[in-house]
Amino acid sequence: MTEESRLTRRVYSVHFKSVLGAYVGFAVILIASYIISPASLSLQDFVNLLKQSSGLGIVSIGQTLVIMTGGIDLCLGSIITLVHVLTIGTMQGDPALILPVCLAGLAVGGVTGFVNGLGVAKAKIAPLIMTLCSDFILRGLFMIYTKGQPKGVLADSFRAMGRLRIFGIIPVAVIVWLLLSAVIVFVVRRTTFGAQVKMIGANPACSHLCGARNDRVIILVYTLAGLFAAVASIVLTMDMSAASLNLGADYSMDSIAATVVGGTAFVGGIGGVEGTVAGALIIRLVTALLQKANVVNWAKLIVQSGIILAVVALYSRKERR
Amino acid sequence: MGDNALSLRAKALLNSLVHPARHSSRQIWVLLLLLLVPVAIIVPEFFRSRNLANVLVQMVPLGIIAIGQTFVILGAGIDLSVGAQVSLITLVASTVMTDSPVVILLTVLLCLGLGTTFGLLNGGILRLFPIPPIIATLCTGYLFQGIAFALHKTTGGYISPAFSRVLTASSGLLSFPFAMFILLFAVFHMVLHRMRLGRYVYALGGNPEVLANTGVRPSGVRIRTYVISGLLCAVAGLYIAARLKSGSSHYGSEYTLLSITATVVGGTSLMGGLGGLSGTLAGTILVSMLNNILNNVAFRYNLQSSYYRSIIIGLILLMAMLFYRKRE
Repeated sequence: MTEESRLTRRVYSVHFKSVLGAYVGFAVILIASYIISPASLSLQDFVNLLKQSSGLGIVSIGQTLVIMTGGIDLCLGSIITLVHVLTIGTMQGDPALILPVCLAGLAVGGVTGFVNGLGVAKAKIAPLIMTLCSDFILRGLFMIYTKGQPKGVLADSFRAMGRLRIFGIIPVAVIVWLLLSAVIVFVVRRTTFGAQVKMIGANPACSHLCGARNDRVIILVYTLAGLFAAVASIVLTMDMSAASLNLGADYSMDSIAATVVGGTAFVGGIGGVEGTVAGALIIRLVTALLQKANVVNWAKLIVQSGIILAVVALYSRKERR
Repeated sequence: MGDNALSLRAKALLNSLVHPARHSSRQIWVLLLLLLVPVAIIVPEFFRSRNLANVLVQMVPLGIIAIGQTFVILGAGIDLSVGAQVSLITLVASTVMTDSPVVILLTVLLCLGLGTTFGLLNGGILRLFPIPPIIATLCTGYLFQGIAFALHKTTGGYISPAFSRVLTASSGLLSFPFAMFILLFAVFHMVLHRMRLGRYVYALGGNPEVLANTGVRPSGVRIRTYVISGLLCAVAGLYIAARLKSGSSHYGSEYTLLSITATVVGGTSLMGGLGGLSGTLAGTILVSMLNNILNNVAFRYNLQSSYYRSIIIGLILLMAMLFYRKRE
């Protein structure tokens, strides 16, 4: 066996173990929650958990791609809020406007992500600073747009989509989440683009020498992250009766947590969306448990930062060994 | 052969320690002076002595926090937890304090101790695990913020009037907080440019291997930069608590981005090892000046200045990154 293939195998096995770990972790926490409150052991409750995780799951797909290239995106939460207030503010309860409004929302997300990508790839601004700046600019934009008091009406048929259950049980949001995840898992594992994403995260110079156009790949990744945030925003908005300026507030941090818990490494190059699905489920399940204990406001921050630090520390030891 | 390699290494070491890449902060000072002309035309009320006194006082907390941020960034780190640290300090101070002088003194010591602990925690995590500083301090920031939310039940709290009177004493353009800031700035300027620790910080950001070869543990220097940042956050938190006579879980939140902006606008490179405190002072003045002007203009046109502030700060930071880009 050559040195390279042995190395590749080791990387894959580390990644496989962490993905497996994420699913096992989810199962353990789920069983523990059933033991704590046996009443929640029902298909309906599980479907509800899936539905609550779907928004986060969709955002985290983009965050995973970004982190795999060795970057980070801190403005996804603000994209969600901006698209959300724009959607509610411009729909005016008119069913004919649903499609154009949603497309406009996707465009806003895509353009924001594209600009982030340009800043990171072309202007060589550190991803953290670039997306932090975008975050502040977007916050200012949606505050100016709403003047602090978001208004607007959704079309009834749009909200009906939020209540719709495929086969009488599975919500649309869950279908969108799992479908998008499956597509990106395929893209990362089986396409050139996916290989380039991983290679840029692991070794940008090498990927450049291999003929990958790093700039384009990075710009595409950030654009996709913005697009997915917009999709998540639209999916989340279906379930809202009124606009909220706090809708996206937690999503930047939550999506980083879901990605990391799902086994994608911060050093870049290792990971994938298959683990992030479990990561999103874990983060939402923990949030739900804290909500039940009525300590969600502050305990969520502490628990979540603890989880991220613990997982990152665990993996970083593994990589060093 | 071995001798040759050794002398090369010694040369690199000498270069990095004797001539730390102390870039000139002249550009930002010139920009600042040039900006005063349009400001004088557009917002003449900026130069009223009462407003100037205001600006000098308002820039104090940012200036103090930015000194610490500069140390951390020069060492190729970043501290995203400063905002939460400041909030937490204001909460602790306003919860613990009473009117007794002994308790006030103990509160101050407790807060300084807490600041040191925050720094030790940040630096310690980075020493134990090879995590990027961004992630570690992002997490500790959320950790501190969570603790702050948990303490927030006692909104407001109590700050002794005597304490707040001393910390906010002023007459005309002179004020105690500004004097304190200048003193801290002078002390840390000396630490950075005249003492061994300063050299180590530059070497840590510029070339940690060289630092390790001189027998200094880079992680130890890194911990010290984070402790400096934590201590200065504690000082800033105490001052903010004294000025607002209360504590809150959001008093510090804006300082994370602002302190990074002041540092980067001042020419300190995020890659570490390049920059200095003089630029950070100019960056702090620039950010505070623009903030004050924005408030004046927003008041004139009856706008909500906070909506525009975040956009303007974001744009300034982006422009600074673009401006200094070619250097790296």
